[in-house]
Amino acid sequence: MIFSPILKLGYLKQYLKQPFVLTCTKICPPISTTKPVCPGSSGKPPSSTPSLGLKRAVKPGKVRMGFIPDEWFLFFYSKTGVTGPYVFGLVLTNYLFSKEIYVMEHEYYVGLSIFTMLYYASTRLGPGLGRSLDKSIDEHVETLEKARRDEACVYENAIKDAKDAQWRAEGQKLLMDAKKENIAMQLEAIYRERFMQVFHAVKGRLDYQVKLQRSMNRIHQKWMINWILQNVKKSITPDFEKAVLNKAIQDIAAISSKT
Amino acid sequence: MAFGDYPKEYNPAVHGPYDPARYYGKPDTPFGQLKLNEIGSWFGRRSKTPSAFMGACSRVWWRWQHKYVQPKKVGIAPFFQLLVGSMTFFYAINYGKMKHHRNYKYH
Repeated sequence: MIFSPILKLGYLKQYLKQPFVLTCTKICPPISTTKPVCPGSSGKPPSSTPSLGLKRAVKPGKVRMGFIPDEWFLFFYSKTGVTGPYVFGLVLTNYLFSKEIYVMEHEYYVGLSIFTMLYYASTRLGPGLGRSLDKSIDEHVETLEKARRDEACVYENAIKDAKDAQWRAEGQKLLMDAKKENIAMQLEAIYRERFMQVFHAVKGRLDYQVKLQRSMNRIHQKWMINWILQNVKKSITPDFEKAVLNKAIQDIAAISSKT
Repeated sequence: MAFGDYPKEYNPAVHGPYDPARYYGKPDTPFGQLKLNEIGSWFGRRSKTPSAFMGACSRVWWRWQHKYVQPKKVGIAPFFQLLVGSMTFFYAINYGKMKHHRNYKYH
């Protein structure tokens, strides 16, 4: 039962690759409920989680000397100051060694050598290994997040395109109205053209009738005048002509004697 | 009563997602804030059934996990803590044998 967590810790970072929602302890940052942004180009992603209520801590609890929790040192601080816990540790180890409760047998010297190696490994190689593992974890998380964000982006684009198609369909309605107006205008134009044709036809017929009447009148007048003149000329006898001529001479004499 | 069930007092509508490190029973003063003379009465108030004891062990394990193992950027601290813990435990259970390997007779 003890070894399984140690073996698990050996594959610590792969174990951490599984998504794990955790409690909100003092270490956790507050929960952010920002909506995911749709990146045109890949920018810094906002820390977006659905509001699950739990969030995973980023930094572990502080430890001193590699494994002793910081709270144990702070527990002593109010009573004994900064050096308290270290003095306590020294005194305790001194007691254990001097009373030989902790026996310095050959296992102890093996442990001492292993401790030295562990110390140098963890101080020299530790930070570098930690950084590279953190980087690989971040890349893995980033690929997952990017997949999620890209999918959200795809859906947002689909929504946008659907709205665009709706807008275009409404534009079709306007197009239909414009076409109807166009046809109505054409009909009106043809109506007016035909109306003018009718008008001209009717006017032509009426003009013809007018001209006809006028020419008939002229012909009637001409013949009537000719007939009247002929009759008058026929009724003038030679006696009448002599009488009129004598009268005319007398009238001229009367007028010329007056002036 | 079955293994792996949620505690009786857990209510998802009230408490939200299940947090294995949280005690869902009746609220009581935390152990670190007790006065010395209250320890007996405090201990009397806790339920001492086996399932309650297992629940306490599980909460201890999960609190240690949440603090030192599960965060995103842990260091080597939990490994060393388990190392030292198992070293002391096994030294303690083998102490009878170790007594005979003492180098000096009088201390």
